[in-house]
Amino acid sequence: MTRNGVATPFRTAARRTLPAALRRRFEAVVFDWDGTAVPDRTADAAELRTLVEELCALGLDLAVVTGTHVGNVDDQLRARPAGPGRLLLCANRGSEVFEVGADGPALLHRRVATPAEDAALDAAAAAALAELGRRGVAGELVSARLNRRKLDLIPLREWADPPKARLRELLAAVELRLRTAGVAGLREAAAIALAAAQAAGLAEARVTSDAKHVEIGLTDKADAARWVFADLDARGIGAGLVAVAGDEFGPLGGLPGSDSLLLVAEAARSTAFSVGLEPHGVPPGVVALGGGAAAFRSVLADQLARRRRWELPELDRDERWTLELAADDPRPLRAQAALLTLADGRIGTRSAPLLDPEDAGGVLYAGAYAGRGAEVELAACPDWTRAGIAAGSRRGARSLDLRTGLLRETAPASALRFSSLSRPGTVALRASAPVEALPRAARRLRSGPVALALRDRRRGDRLERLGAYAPDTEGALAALAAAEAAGFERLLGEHRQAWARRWRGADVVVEGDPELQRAVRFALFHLIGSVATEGEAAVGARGLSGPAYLGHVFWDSDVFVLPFLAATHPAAARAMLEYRVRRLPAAREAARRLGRSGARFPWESAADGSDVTPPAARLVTGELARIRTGELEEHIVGDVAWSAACYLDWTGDDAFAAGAGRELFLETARYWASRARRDGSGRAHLYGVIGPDEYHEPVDDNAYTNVLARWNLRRAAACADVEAPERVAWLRLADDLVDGYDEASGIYEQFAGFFALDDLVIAEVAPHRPIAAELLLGAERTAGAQVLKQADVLMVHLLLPDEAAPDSLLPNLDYYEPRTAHGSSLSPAVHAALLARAGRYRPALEALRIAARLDLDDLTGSTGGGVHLATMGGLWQALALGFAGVRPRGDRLVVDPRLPPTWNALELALSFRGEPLRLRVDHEGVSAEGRWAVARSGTNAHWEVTLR
Amino acid sequence: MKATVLAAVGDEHTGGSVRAAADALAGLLGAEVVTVCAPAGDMAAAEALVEAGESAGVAALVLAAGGAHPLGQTAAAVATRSRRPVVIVPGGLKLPVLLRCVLVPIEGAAATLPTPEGIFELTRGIEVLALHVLDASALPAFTDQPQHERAAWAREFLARYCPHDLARVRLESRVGRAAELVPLVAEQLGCDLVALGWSQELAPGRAAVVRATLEGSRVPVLLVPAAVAAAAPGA
Repeated sequence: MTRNGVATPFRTAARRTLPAALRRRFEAVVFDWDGTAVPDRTADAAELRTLVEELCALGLDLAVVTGTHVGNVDDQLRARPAGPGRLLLCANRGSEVFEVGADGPALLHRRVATPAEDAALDAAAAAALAELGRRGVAGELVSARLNRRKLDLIPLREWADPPKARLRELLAAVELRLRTAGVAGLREAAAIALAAAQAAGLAEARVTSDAKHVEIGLTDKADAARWVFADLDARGIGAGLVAVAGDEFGPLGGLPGSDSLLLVAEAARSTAFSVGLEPHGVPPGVVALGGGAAAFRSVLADQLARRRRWELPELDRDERWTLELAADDPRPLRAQAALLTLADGRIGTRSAPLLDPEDAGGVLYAGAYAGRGAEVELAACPDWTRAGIAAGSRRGARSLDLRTGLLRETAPASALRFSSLSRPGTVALRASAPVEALPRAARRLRSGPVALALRDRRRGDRLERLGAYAPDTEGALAALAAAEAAGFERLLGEHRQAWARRWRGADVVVEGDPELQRAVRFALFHLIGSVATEGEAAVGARGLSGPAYLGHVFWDSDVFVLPFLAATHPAAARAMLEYRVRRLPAAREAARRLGRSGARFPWESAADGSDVTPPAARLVTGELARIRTGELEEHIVGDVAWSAACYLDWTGDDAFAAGAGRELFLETARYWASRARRDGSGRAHLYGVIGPDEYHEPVDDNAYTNVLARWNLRRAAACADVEAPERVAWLRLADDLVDGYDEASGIYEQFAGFFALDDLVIAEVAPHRPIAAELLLGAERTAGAQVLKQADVLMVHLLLPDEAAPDSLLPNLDYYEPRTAHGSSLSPAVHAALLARAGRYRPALEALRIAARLDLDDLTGSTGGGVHLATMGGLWQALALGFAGVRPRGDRLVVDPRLPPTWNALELALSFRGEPLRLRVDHEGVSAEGRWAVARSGTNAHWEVTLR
Repeated sequence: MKATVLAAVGDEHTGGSVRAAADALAGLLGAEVVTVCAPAGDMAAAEALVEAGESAGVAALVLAAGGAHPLGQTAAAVATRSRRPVVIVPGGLKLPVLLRCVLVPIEGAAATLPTPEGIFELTRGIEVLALHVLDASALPAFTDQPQHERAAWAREFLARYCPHDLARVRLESRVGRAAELVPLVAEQLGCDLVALGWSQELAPGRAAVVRATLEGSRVPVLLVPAAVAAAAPGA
């Protein structure tokens, strides 16, 4: 209802003051038809039609749930909404769902009875009528529609078609008729119908009554409600954002009101209200509004007014999905900004309060580096949240909805913002703030490392801002134009739906530990948002959440982040691999410069694939130290190959295996072949490297590096079309590479000479762990002792369990864990995984909690510079590989769970070989939804999951 | 009104140093120096000095240390009671006094308040070296990649505890005992002034770093009361 583009008030809906529970913006309204939306089936619905179409145009989803035929509702309503909000007609008492578009209703879902079910319905109806007749009540079968049979309990002319307004009289008449015949009211009539249905073989029969009729059906309104709530959930609209309306929630004739069926378990957090007479009151939690269809329209009119004045969408405050930061949150503002980063794979926006005077925000664009050499860094981009907005002096509370990627803040500026997951690089914000703080309506174009186009609109104290980032101005303007054409509400709906889709394929549920549950989702939220799903993805140590580590790409990306994506959203893992593939030429050149073959990937990588590791660093002690990781930490070469194999294990991507993946395997193997040296006895060695434990450098024959290189050589040799001489040489070298394993003890020596170092057990001397041992002991003493920074040998057991000596996990865990300071943020999650494999739940959970809380509690003191993405990836691996014990093995998944007694269950959403999978591990065993079969292995040692 | 630096001269041995330090500070602030007489041990004079410091336009008081007490009796009385920043000038101060670089120790514990903004107001135009000493009992848990970690940590540390004039501040860190390291680092790095925010408590067990700095420093020590941290000079 606009005139010359200016919204006018909705004129015809009755004006009334609504109860507090209804004075808010909803994202969907689910409602009964007859008696709720319209007074009766003959009433004029023109006003309702206008409301429905305008609300849909402003993004509200509406779902009619009715017992009647779709044509009855559509003929009366005749709405033809154009979206973005949807109009669903759930007709035939839960058996059909239609979506109404420009061409009318289109079927989305229909429950089709089998012939046997139809016969059973007929039999049940006949038996019920016979029993009623035997008891003296002459009933009548009045319809035999889809999946149901309708029996008239009072087939008298004067009660042929009573209006809703005569409900009390009708009920009294029916009850009198039944009781006169000796039937104890409507309740017993329904019980007779249910008994008849069950006797006919319909164990799940639904029996309902509207006072005049009793219906026996296969479905009822509850089925419709469940369908609608599942559909809304799949679009990122949680139950807390839904209003449920009816006119018969309260009991009727001893039976639950027909609309009480809308209050399914899925609707538990919704707001329900009744516009009916409700002669026996409403159930607890239902708002008794009364007033019939006019009152319902006034609720819709109120919703329309809220949307017209740009009232901010609310978040579904589900604590399992929400990170709440109070106005006085004690964490540093920059840490808060990093925690609340909104990223869409292309850009990341650190979330400073809208009016905050401190500049804790900032925007990073994936892969947009500036600078040269070791100082190359992710460039700071123009900040779309700050432009033209004046700083204030107070901070409000903020809430991040992890399920939908929406950030809401409260006074002094109330705002909702998001970075569109469905249109990466597009951003949107609505705010309500002091007028003087807000910019005028305008278009803005900012240039920098990337271009930003903004469009601001104002309505009083409201601001609506849409923006788009692109590598160039033309791209930014085009993306902004597309965003404007879609409009805020459509962008919001798309974005919510995109997040819901990603969560459906990636969620992890930890039943029995709510705090860990939220922390896990917090980690997955950042992992999902940090990686592009097309092209190439350069994933820096802090993702897109901050400038720390300059956006440089480490093994963190390949070994810790990629596995989560390979197992949940392979397109993103493929984009990460593409980043490495496109830098193969630089890696080849790096190898060539060292006089070696193949490809040598750099310890730190950025734009062009050259090594950008700083050669020196000022330490916390004040000393200047030489940094040798760029020269020596060469396990990165094998790590890249391992990540390609990980992707292939989960996806079976034949094209990648035959193309770029093969290239990665071969070139990295060639590097190892040229890097290894043989001693006089023919044994092969990798001299002068740094392993994951960076307290010791340089070392010879680091066990992890050597085992990884061995695996790399064999993996390459297994590729198709490798020339025989090269293949044979690789296999021979793999066999000859030493790995420091001692069969007697079952322990790998971390590197040659490690056991000769001072056997200082850090667990016994440190005041606490994790601890930066080199600061506690001094660098020299640390280097001379058997003190590890992080898992080193144990990385073999995590990444390459098949390469580790059989049964070597426990002896190595026993030996190395007490000697590990965990001074790397990567270490706790790795140990959590392996301690879980060992069934040591208490220390496993302690380590898991450190990994889960690393950023939430700012345990490093540097979360303000960005969240620790690799720790988050490690957290997922601890849950998936450690506790659930999931491993791809050819075309099947092996599952060997270790479920702590304090958890009820662990559920993982996965994608294996292109097929979605939801895996559940509980104390009873393993199960999977969908097309997957789960069976015990032949030896009963584990479970195997295969496609049916 | 032009700001004033009060130079409290007690005797001829220390008077030159006090005046030189006051001149240097006044030079930074574009203030003028007013010399007042405050003989060591004269508590009435100390009282008068505190009162004089209350006058509008007074940016800081400059006094000599001395006596058995690290502050000296007069200086202690003034420093613990005055709402103005106080500069304590050590004996044997090398002249002339040039203020080019100030060392600002920062405790950086969870409950630590940000460094008083007044320190930055009083030392504008000169280099600021913030110093954080990590005690053995509070070592960080993680160092990850040292070539990046210290820079990342330093940025967050300064943003939290020293949020003023960030572009001018460089963070130095050491591992050890702050009481020992502050005067040492000030000398190693060639700082001309040590500036500390403090709660004006000199009771036993309190202000250990302030005490140790006053005892060991060979350069003037600026004490800025936390309670009036944000007050502009001369306010």
